[in-house]
Amino acid sequence: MLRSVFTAAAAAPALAACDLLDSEPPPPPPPDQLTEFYGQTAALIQTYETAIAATPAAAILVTVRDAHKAHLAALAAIMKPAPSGSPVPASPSTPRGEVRQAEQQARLAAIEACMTAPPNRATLLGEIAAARACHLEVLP
Amino acid sequence: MTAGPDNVERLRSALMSEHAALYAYGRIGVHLNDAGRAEARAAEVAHRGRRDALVVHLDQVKASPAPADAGYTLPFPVIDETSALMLAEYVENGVTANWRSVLAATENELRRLAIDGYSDAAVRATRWRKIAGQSPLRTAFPGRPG
Repeated sequence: MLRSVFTAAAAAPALAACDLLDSEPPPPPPPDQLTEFYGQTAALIQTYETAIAATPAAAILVTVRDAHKAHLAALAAIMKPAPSGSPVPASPSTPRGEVRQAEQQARLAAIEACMTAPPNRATLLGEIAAARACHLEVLP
Repeated sequence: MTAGPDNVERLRSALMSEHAALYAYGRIGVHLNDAGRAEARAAEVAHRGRRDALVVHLDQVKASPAPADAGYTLPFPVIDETSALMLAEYVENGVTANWRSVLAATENELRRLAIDGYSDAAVRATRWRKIAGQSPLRTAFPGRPG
């Protein structure tokens, strides 16, 4: 009896160690399909921040930036896993401060994202595309 | 389009809003200045194109497209430029909301039609507010209820 207890007790750590060695951490979940779009949206906000810093009196830039922030939050709410907070850097082809050009590129990106989205995401991405089209209507 | 009675109803609602928009623009233009009339004419052409595309699509999926009503009750009297601009924005807001509701029921070419119909109506509503001297951007999510 004692021997069997001892044997079992002695074997337990070995088994535990074996389990530790064998059980690899589960692979991280694949990034959400909207990860790149999310990063582009975050970069777009940065473009606006730069423009607002250079032209603080431009109230329309603040309004549009806030709309993009609302879009970013809405995207984060549906992404799985949630975005990490380290968005993709802005494309080098998008000059900082060139908000109109950035907005136009962002509108096209939103249309593309909407076109390939599953039904449960199509409405939000369409909303973002439509909002960006409206921004172009009011930007100088 | 994904088949289903709900999706067909959404498309029919979009069609009805296009019919109503065409009727409304017939009442709007006469109260506007030259630039406004040109804008109204361009909007009318765009709505006619979307209406026709919807009719063709609904025919293709064997869902009878409803014809336009003989007349529509306007939400308020249109007697001058101010009320005409209000009606133009009102109409475009309605079209915006209807196309938005279609998006999730579409794919491929029909989704593209929905995106364009939705965006264009939202832009025109923004433009009419601008022309009316109002704050042009009202929401980050055009056409969303509430």
